[in-house]
Amino acid sequence: MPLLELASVSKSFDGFQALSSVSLSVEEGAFHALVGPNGAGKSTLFNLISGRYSANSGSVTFAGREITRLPTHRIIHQGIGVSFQRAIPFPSMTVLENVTLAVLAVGRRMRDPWRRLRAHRDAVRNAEEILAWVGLEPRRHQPAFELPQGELKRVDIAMALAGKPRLLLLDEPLAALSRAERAQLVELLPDLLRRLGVTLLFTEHDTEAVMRLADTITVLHRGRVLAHGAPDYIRSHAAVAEAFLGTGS
Amino acid sequence: MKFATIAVLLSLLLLPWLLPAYGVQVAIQALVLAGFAVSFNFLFQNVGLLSFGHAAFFGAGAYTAALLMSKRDWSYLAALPVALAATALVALVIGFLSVRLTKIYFTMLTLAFAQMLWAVVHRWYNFTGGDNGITNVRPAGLLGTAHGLYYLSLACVVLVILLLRVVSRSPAGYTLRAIRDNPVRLAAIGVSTFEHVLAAFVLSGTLSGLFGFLQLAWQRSAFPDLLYWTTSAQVIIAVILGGSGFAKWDYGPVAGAAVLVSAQAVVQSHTQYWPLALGLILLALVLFFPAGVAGLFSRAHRRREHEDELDHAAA
Repeated sequence: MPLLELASVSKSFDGFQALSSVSLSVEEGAFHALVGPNGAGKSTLFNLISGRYSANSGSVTFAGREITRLPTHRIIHQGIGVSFQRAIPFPSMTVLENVTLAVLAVGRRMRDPWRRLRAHRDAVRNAEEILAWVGLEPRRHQPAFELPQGELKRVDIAMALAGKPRLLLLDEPLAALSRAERAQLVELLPDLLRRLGVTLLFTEHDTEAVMRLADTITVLHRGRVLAHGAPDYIRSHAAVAEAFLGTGS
Repeated sequence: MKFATIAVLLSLLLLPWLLPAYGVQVAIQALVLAGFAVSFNFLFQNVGLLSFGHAAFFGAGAYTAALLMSKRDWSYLAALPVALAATALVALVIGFLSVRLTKIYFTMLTLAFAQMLWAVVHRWYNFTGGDNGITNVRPAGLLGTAHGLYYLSLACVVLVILLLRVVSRSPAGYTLRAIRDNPVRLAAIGVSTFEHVLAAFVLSGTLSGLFGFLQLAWQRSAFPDLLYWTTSAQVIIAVILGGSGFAKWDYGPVAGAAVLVSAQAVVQSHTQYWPLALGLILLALVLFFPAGVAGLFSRAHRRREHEDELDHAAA
């Protein structure tokens, strides 16, 4: 049984059909990429899975349970970690406070109005461990707003991992990063996620990074699935290569 | 800074013995407005929601106690828990209907609810006395004296500041700041923003009711203007005057309330044009000191710290 399954999902905005009967399966342990040009429906699909939008028709099932109409905060508790494209960490807090908050949120311990955040020592230790995974332990006491974009993205991923998700959703994780920052993240993600046993579903424009990271690729075009398969298959798919990857074989 | 806080607290403890009777009355009024402003600013500064309806809670605290004292002969202090519970209920209802909105829509909706409550109180002559209000509700014993009420008000302000500081540093407080920073990211770590904002709204409203309760003892009567929009405007002005956006976010509203009430007392003893003077004060503040009164102290404090660092480095 696939970990995530979308069945005939459609979504329109004011008459514009962003997604038309899209079906998709993500197997447990896969690194699955959603690619396509701007307007293909990648972010819409991402937002449907993460609960920011609700589908007009069709269903989204995660680990055998339908999550189609659940709001984002409830989807997270099903075992999905999310990092939105522009959803950066909380700038008024330090890096450690950001991740500690995420750890407490997963345990539904946010309501405590009495003990100091840092007095939740188990959550703080857990957050420090997660920051070490993404190489940001030395930055833990720095305010988030002082961090460069690449490190902010890693904080965001650390927050998404705080819930020990089975599936991690990343919307254009390399967007707005420098070449060096992209290389760092592409280097970091595969080892880390395989070690944690986390399945990855991500959207990305950087075809080189997609080919390096993904073991399965779904190509979207005008709100429909154009092709689906392993990177070699997608690379050799004439229409896809010509239209989207620019590597015409 | 700790030394400064202790010095200010000691001064406040001695103040009623140094001031004339009228000065003590002004000081009580300043403390009541300070506590109201701190309660209001908890929502404004932490969550980023500007309520223009906090007069509803201020008035609810005052009117509940006034009704119990005048119609049921309850003592002033016995009415306190019921006044707080009634205010919390009012805040829960208004909050439940308002906190899904943000920005100007939230501000306008809170204003609308407060004005509706004011209209009810203003017109319901059989129950609230309408625009005649409820008069002659004087607390018995020590709290009926200026000194007693001053120390009760001071204790309430200090306790509310301590309570809100504890909450602000807890996971619940951090969650509120996260809502202000980025509600989308907060949902994506598994937190429903609605219940947290509603809890903050109810807490802020209920504490505002506490200071409405104290206002009742100060003026020994309750009139509909306690719930009118001008009361909401007054607390917003106190916060703007003092400055709300500091790490120690309660200093600004306290300073703003003290300056506002003192300035009003001084100006009104010389002229009837207090609104004009207030306009000029606000104009000067916005143009020259946008960080408010507390911003001036904060800047001076930072400069002194910087000079100390330089001295230390030179040594």
